[in-house]
Amino acid sequence: MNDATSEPADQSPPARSRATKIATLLLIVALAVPTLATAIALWEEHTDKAAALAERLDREAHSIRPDNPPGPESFYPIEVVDRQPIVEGFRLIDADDLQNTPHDDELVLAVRIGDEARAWPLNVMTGPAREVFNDRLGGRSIAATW
Amino acid sequence: MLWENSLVMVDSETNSLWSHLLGECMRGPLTGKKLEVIPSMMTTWGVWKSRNPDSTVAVMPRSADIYDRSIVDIGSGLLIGLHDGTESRSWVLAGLAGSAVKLDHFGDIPIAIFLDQESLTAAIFDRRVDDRVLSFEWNSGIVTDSETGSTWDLLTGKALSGPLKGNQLKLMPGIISDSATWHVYHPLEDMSLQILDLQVR
Repeated sequence: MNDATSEPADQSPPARSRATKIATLLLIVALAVPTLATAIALWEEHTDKAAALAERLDREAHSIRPDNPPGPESFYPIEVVDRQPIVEGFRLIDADDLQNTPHDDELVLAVRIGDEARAWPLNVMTGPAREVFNDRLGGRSIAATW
Repeated sequence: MLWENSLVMVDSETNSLWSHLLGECMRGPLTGKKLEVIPSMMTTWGVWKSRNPDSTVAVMPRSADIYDRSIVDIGSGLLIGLHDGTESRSWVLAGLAGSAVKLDHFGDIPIAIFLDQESLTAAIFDRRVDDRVLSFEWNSGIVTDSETGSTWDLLTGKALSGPLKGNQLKLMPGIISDSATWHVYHPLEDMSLQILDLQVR
């Protein structure tokens, strides 16, 4: 026996209901994306702060004291200028080139290796772009710095 | 880069960070590696040229004009130091003024620390010649060894006259530094020896 009231209803949602669901989903996504971005930013900030704190504690634990020589644990240099080009391939002159050699009372850093001797004037080795001179002398690769 | 106001070197090959005063890699892939410190001198061009007329000079436009003999002040706290990774010792130039030659030891090595009074150039030499340990005296600008009476130029470490004429002392890798920076890198060094040096004068 059939009862008219027990007939199955139409299972497919009306088009209006489907649009509502899609709009809701899009709204959720739209809300979620910035929320997620904010969460990531907060997490990164938290992570950065945690890393900075860990580094500070590490520095303090290994700070330079009379009983604590410097080592990798305490070595946290600061970058004061951009990285500079390598100093190499500069011109060399002989000591008797009186026009271009330093004045006699100018200070030099100087080395003899075997049969070769070289001087680097301090007035040339000054400033961020001139701190380390890469050179070769007596068959050896050397870095002159002061 | 700077660490404790001192220069930090970076190698282009691995980007490791190196202490220029220790010659040691402090951070990066080469951490713990050490460069050999080559014996050098910080002196005036005139002094260097007079002893090394065959020397070459690096030429670039001057980036400063203040570094000449006039800025080397005996009372400025400059020192000359030695370190070998396990031991460090230093001698303040003020403690050498007036005596010119100081005899000492670095580890097992008998050494002579020399200060040229005119140019204030400091140098450290191993004072052994053929297994004989020499003792140097400075008198009116002339350095002689007590054992043979030979005279020496302690800006080059060469014997100029006497039985040992022609011998060459080995220059040690002494580093000129200001006291504050040196003791940041060598905080374990025994300062009492330095104080004694000054009191003896």
